[in-house]
Amino acid sequence: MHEPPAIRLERERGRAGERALAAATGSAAALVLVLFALIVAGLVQRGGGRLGWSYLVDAPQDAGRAGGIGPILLSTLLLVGIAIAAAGPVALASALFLDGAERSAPRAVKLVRASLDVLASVPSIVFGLFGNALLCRALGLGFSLLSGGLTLACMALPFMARAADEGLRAVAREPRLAAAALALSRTTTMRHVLLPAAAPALVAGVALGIGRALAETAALVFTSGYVDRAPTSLLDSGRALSVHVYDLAMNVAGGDASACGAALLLLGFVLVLQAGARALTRRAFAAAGAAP
Amino acid sequence: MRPRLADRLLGAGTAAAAAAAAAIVLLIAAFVLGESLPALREIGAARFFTDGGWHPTADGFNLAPMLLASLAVAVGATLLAAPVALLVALFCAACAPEWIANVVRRVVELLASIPSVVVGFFGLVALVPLIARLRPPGASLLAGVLVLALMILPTIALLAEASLRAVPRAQWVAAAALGIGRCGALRRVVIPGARRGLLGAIFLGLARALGETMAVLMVCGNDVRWPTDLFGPVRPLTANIALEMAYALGRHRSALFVSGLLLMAAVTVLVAASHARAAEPSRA
Amino acid sequence: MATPKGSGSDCAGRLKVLADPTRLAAVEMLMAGPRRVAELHAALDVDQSLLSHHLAVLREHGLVEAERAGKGVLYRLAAAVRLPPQAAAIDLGCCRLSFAAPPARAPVAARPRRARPRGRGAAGLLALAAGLLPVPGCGGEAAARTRLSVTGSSTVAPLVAEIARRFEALHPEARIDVQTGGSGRGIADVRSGVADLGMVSRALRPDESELAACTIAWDGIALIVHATNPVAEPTRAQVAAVYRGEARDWSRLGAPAGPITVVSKAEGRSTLELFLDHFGLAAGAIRADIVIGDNAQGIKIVAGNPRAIGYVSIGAAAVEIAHGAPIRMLPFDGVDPSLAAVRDATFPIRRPLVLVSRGAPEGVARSFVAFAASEAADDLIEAQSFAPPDRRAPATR
Repeated sequence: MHEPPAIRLERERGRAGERALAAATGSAAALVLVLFALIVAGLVQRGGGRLGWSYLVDAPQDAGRAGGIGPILLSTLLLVGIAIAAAGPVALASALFLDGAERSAPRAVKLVRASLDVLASVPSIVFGLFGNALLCRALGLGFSLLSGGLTLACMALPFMARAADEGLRAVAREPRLAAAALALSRTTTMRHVLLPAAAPALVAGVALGIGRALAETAALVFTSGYVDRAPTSLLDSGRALSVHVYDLAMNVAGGDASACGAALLLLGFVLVLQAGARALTRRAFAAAGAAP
Repeated sequence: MRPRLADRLLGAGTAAAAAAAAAIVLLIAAFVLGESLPALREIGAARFFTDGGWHPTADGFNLAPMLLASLAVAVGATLLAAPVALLVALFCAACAPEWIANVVRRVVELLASIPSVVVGFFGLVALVPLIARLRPPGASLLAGVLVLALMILPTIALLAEASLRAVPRAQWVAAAALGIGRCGALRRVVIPGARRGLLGAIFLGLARALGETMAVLMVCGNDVRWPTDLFGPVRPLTANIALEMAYALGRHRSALFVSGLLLMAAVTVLVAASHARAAEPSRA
Repeated sequence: MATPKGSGSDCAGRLKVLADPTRLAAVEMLMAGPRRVAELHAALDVDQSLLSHHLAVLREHGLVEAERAGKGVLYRLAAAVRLPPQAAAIDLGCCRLSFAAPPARAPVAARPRRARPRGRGAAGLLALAAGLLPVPGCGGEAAARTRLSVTGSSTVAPLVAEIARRFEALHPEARIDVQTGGSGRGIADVRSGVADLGMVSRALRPDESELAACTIAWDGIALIVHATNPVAEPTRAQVAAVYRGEARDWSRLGAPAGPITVVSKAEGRSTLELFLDHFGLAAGAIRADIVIGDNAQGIKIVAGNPRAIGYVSIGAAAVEIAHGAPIRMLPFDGVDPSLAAVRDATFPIRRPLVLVSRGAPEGVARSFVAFAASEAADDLIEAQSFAPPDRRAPATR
């Protein structure tokens, strides 16, 4: 079919623009990959020699410069578990509230959103001091995985809630109207319409939460503590991997190599955790999205 | 009867969760305020901006240079990180084949989990000496901006991508029907739809940058001075708290909490401003 | 209701707490009824502060309660533990401790209840978490453990943690939890009873003299410059001038010209105070380009900047030099910095690493402090790049 010149020009300009955009985004992605590769290379160069199966299960020796990080991995796993288990549902429920009350209570919605934004900016050390005062002292939990995990939950909450919020807000009008037309209750609408549609955003939220929890150092020093023994209960103090890396890099002389080895392991740990979280979240929401 | 009960429970449950979430920040604010009161009473709020300098053991409590340093580092980092993060988000959401997008997303997730101490460590051993060769001392505002940008980039990218992918399929389909390519659909169709989410992602990145402690502590130089020189050392408020909290007693400790309070106040102002300006979006 | 310590006031833990003549006597007295502290003090032949310490421990483990009554404090058995007077015993939950007749049989510890894993799949994770939750009732499986809580300086923490590890291997019933938070936190926690021992990385001040202190190691501080910097030993005045910002170029110290990057420690650190002391400087007079928190940070900065100068722990610097860091230490007063020189005090800029406690330590705490100060810990001290105390001289307090 003969194309009028105007449309052809628009199409070509569109293609050029598309190419430029593709180039720009591609470069940005490449930059990120390169930065990541540089960091990993730096870690491997300094600490790669330490890794091995025994490193994963043995206890630390010589202030962490020898031995392994087994107990620390366990503590970290529990900390992240507590954080996500505590923050996830609250984040999702908050996002659902924001979605549902958009019209009926706009001021409350604004207040909650603003509170979450402010929460995201609280310095990590203030979280640590707050967690210490509230959880360790006032509630009597002492230096424990529970204190640390709950503090981490507070820190991860705003990011997870924001991701869920965006996911829900973007659910189009049509499915909601259709649900209303079918006289579906709010609960059913949520389970079968909203959540499945927002699933990718929710998965991103969990990934963000895990990332935030694992990257945190300062807050954990004051709440879950320094003890590098394997915890026997959630009320035991336990050292998180990030705290271990910090101690080795900054506090223990000659601990650089071990710090880098531990950091590498942390990355591997993240891969496993994220994959698992992704699988679980997708399965949960896919199941919810099955035909009612 | 049953659906209505479930709905009521859902309504109550979500409202309770949201209230709890909002309450946490209030609790923290109350805690910080409580710890700051002794200093505020003894020293008086004005002196935190007018004193000769920050010498807490010698009765000097001026926080202003450090507050400005925090803002400078955070804003600089956000200005640097946001465009790159958005481009990466666009890449993963639209401009790349599925498998490449997955790989890049995994890498971004990994970057998000790198402890601040590791990023700070590389800043210290690789970046600072590099800058020092250009202009000593190396540990500087610039180093802080670069390191912080790297830290918040994954946060912004992940949130932004979530917003982009949440844009309803109908819009993508419509764009395709108009003959606009997937990548090109972004400018006209998808980005406007996700704009609020993208701005939110950037804002959260800024907030995270303001609160970051460990990485800035290691590369910013930590000398208390006004952030006028890009290559000069600065001390952000968070680094100040981290450096001195363990050794501070009485009035000094309380003054450190005042700096925490100041930071939260600054963020609250920023948040209020951003929420006021954001227009209420219409549903797609 | 008293807050249980650590992993819960399990039965064996409470029995262990009672395993002290003073505490047992106090509890026996309280069985007859509430008593003021003064009455207890009069009847038991112990120091007032020591008695307070025992009562505090009993309180923390939920065995006694205290209330203000007029001018003094009234102590009574905790409600959960109290039994009618004619029983002449106390109820520990899983068992009863009777003072009446010779025990017919030893108190029996009940077996712990454990959450049964139920369900499948992801519920297994829940079971794992449940199994880790604190279990009510008496712990019969775990041997009776004495928990020691040690907090304080992060400089001393890695060393004490290693000593604790070795101590636990030798004494399986002990469990020593080490936390960081700064020397000030260590002192505060010991004073308030939150911690049993405190780690302090400096000599005690006059207003801290009521605490018992034991020096377990020494640390020295030396100036460091980049390995390529040929500067000879600068005089005290020269160093002071550099740190006051008056001498800004290396040529003033007889080295190739170039701007000096001055690295100093943050206010409040004992390293800083030691440095100020030896070079005759006031804290407010220092003009630094870079302010650091940890030794490692200082070392890395100087290693990366040929024109930097800083001061760090001698041990840390020695280790990093051995690992190839391009730095060197400068002599002071003609003495080359080394851990040996720190040990016998020929190198003057040094500080003690100290374990503090409220009153003389007892029981496990005493054994641990003695162990840490003994030769058995010397190799650990050297492994952490500190100097063991000079045992030829009398022990320093």
